[in-house]
Amino acid sequence: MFKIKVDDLIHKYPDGTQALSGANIDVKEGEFLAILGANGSGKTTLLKHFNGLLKPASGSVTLDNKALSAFKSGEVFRKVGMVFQDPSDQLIAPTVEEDVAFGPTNLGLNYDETMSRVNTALELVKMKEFAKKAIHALSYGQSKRICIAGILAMEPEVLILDEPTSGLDPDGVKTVMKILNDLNKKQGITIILATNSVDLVPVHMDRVAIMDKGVVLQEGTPEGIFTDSEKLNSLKLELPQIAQLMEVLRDKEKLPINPLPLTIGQARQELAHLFSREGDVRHADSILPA
Amino acid sequence: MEILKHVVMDHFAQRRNWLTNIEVRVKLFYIGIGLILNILSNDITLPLLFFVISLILLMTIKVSFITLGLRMMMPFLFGIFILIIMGLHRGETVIFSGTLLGYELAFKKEGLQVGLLLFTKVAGGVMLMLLLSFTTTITKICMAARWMKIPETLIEVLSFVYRYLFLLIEETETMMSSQRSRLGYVTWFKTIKSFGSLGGTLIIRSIIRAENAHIAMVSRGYDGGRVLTVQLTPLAGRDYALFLSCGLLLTALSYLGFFW
Repeated sequence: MFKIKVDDLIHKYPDGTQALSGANIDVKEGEFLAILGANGSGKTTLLKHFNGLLKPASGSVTLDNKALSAFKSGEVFRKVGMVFQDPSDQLIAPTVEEDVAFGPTNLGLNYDETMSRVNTALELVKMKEFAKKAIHALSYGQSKRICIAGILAMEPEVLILDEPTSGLDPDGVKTVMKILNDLNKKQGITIILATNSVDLVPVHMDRVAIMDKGVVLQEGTPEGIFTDSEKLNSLKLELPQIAQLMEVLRDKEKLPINPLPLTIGQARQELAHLFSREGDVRHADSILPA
Repeated sequence: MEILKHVVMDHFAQRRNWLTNIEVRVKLFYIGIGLILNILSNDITLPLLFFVISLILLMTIKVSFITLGLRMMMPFLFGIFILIIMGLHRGETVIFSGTLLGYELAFKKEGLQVGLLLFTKVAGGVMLMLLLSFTTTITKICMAARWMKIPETLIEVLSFVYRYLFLLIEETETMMSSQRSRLGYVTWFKTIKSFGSLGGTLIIRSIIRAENAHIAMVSRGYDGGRVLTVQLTPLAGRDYALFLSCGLLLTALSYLGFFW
């Protein structure tokens, strides 16, 4: 069953910028979808249509087979939560606790239930000990996690994130992606993530959609999408770094690598297979050119 | 910018000590009444007493003189300005006169007395407010304001001002650094020009930030309701005892200030 269905979406900003030119995408329930695209491809605009923040000039968006316009005011936000790219845009309260409590309070929950949700959400993002901390005293990575907690406290069915790892150090990226992975695999939350960081995609996501010039060009599994590096380059994207290395080894060093590994784990297995323990040196000599 | 950051830093209020542990409503009662008495005082005794008591209380929680000095700098300068202006323009009895840049300046006794009273009122009032700001977080102040039935809109605005003040300072610092690294402050003329463009850019950025914040708030179900959630704990016996103690202290200070 499709959780969100987008048909022929067209959106033009007041300054005349055509951000979406007939975008089509279907999001399955419980999947972890990445929307890949270069800057200006329309990713953020598309995401903002998923929860009705933007209204299309034409086309439709349905949630649970119901048009967004048919939902009562606030109902969509209850089901579909969005984490914006810049934490400063969405951290609005003086302290962490107050900010995470903002969403549940607006849902009309009583004080005890609100605080229970706050504690649970902070626990999920590993920030429970920061509950009383002032927002302005948080680091960038901590701010990003609190933004996620603020949406999780509303217990959404769908979580949309706009470039959640941008500006984070490698450890921060790992932490955020682990949180999202756990939310998807253990809690069953449908996650849609816009990014231009291709290395994350094959590690965590079930499906990828590639956008360019306001249109979804291609959808599929990472293995299916990351086969044509030339096409990706034409869209100002690249293969994951490890796949680039393996592609060079395949094309220039003529190593028999097929299919192209997309993650370090897959590359390790492939290389270990190529240089297997039995007859190591002889086997390696027979593969590598003189 | 460093001085400004130092002035608005609120980490003292986040610490745990005997003053931060006092119920916020007790502190607001003491400081609120204290400010009223400070303003109504017609003698320097009461404002000075408030100044000294607040200073001693802050020293018990190890607030440094430098921190206090930085926070009091602007109001003190303003107080000194008032003292000088009053001394020059009010009264009849000249106690000191001189010439400065060709102008005759005469300080009068009555004017200096009025100026001194105003100066001590500034000092006493500011020190009372510093006592509140060093020992109470903004969240608690907002909670107490709600308990006192202050309109929710004002409380909302207060919490936003607090939240975005630090962001404003950060953005200003970033832009000033950028301007400075491109020689934006090497001459007076360039400094004025840089300040002008800084101010204009900050206004535009504030509007954009406000719009984005509103979008984020709407997407979390906001429709004009309250922003803050956390509640005050009910008053305990200890709090009532402190209320009584503050009341007695204020009565004693009033007697000393008005009738002694």
